Amino acid sequence: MLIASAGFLIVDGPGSPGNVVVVIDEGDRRFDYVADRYWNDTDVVLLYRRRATRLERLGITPMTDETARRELLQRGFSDDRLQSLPESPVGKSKLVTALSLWLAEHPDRSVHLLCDRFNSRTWDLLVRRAEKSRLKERIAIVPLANRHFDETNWWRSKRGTRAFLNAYLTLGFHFFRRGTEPEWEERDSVDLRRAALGCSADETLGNRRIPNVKLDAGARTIPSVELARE
Amino acid sequence: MVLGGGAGTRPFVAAEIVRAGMARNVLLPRFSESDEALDGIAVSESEMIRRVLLKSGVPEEVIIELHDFVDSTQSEAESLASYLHEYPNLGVAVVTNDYHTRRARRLFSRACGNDLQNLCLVGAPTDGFDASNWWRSEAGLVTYLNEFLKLLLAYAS
Repeated sequence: MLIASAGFLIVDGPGSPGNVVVVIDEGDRRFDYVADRYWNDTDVVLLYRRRATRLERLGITPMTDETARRELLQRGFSDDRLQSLPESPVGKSKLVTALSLWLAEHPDRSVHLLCDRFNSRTWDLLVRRAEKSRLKERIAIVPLANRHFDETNWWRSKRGTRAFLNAYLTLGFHFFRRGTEPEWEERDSVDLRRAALGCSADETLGNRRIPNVKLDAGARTIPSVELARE
Repeated sequence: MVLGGGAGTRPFVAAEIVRAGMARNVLLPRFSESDEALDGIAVSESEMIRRVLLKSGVPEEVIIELHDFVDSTQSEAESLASYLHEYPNLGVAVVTNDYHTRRARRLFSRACGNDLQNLCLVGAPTDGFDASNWWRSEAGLVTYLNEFLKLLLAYAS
């Protein structure tokens, strides 16, 4: 039953090679997989490019497609084979939308979408639900194995158990939810500063003193803090 | 002290605490590296947090790396308890995400025992969702339900 329940999360891989492979930000050892399986059969590798996070904007981590490009170039792919998907917001359903737009512009193409093994059922669900363009015929889901666990032993490790549970939560979320997710909103510097100084959301920051700022229930209070003007 | 698992906001909040003059040092746990960091593909969490702190104006000499490798909130709590054993009577603000503060307080109170009076928890906001809308996004749903489950386990154990 444990094996079967994990098996349900996994869809069959494609039966035939695709002329485009899509690399997103999940899937263990995906770059090695692309280099092994798609070197000869694929003339385009599409790289997922999502909206930059705070860490990426600050240059602390590279953008997802920049990492993928670097890794694939290191594995011998030429730059002209690597294309970034147009910038797409965060979220699986929105990525499927971005793919459908790309396929509409390239009617002669079919793609292989590489993903985490336990997430493949969710991706399959989203592709089947995609409107109009009969995407299922043109997008094949490729479930990638994880080096630490699979459907036969996931319960033996914390990471396997976590992956199994999260995969069912994700599948359930997308199964019951119709339509796309809400826009991803990032906290701004004011939110972060308020959290640091223990201010409530309706207090404005300005050049004033806030007495006895309490950090958390059960915590000690700190002396009055003068906040810098924005 | 910055807990792992939320480099998007936690170290920024920690940096603000230091910049406001409310902390002299930042304690940084030594996080076990992810597969991608071990493969050389991604930046390790420790390095990410360190870069954020430095970029936010925290001087390098203010950052103290703790000794033990950690891979869970429990091990982070034990790591801090060891540090407090060496350096008692310190006041420590533990910075984590808002949804995590209850479980963190439970685990840190058990690990740190009598030193708890010197600890406080700071809840950093989370990008993309919060307590008012977590069920609307995949990331929010997975995060909050995970946290509820872990909270139950923390109270049960």
